[in-house]
Amino acid sequence: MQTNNTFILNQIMVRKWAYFGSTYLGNDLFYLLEFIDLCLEDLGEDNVVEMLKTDNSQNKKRLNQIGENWNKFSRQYAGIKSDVVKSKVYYDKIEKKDFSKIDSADVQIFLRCSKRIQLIQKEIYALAIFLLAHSKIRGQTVKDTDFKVLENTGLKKLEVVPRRAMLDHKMENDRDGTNR
Amino acid sequence: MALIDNILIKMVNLHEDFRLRGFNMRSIWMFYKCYNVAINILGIEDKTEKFKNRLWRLLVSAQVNPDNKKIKRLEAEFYNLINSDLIIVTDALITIQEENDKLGINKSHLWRKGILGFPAWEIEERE
Repeated sequence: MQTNNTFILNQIMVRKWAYFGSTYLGNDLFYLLEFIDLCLEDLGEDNVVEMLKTDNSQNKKRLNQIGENWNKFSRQYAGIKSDVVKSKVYYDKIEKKDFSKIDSADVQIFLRCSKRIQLIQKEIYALAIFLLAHSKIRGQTVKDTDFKVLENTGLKKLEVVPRRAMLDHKMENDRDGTNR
Repeated sequence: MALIDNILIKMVNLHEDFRLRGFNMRSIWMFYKCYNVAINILGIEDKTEKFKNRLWRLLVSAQVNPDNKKIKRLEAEFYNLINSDLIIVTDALITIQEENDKLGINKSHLWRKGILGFPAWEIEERE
């Protein structure tokens, strides 16, 4: 399958894939769905449906099923998308145990959405891997910098050098005449 | 398939990392992300899928109104499941490695002679 995507679009797709790998609890699905959207836009939805119907890989049973019931799948897909967007805000608050501060109405929304987001979602992952295998980026690798962006933010504070310390260091260098 | 290889290894590492730090929910979610990718690479049907989804729903609802006893029991149950499911993830990694070998994606440039970190006994002596 020939695609018309540019270098920049390829880079964005690889980054989305990397963010999917390094985030968790709802955020990852958000990036995965964005990745799928980009791939569908790139390859063309009609082409993808045809390819799914005639797929002959190891996972052909599931992929053929998706291709044959594409309308049903796309409705499910849109539902999961809206649930992920609604519920991804709340997951971090669960682990910090400050969920009691949120309104009970919001809690109900979260519970309703999170129950629809299953732990094992075969169809969406099958489609993502299928699209990845047929896209131009399949031969590329993920840079380490793309992984590190999001995985650290939730766990530890960013190390920022105080402005005063930086100035002292600069003045010291100027006095010595060195350029360390 | 190098991208899937990258991602699977990263996710397994993060799963271990979260488990050590005590973020059990993140750790479980991260592992089952790998598992989802693995079953789709191997084309396997999971018979315990509904059970796992139900357990996850229970775990999420238990976190909203914190009940430590229930949470610990559910997490222990999940870790038992993870121990048995780990084989599928390793199988998937082996399959990807074989496919990469067939395609000719060669990682040997990482180990070319003369670069820093190459074991000394494997460097050929100059004549």
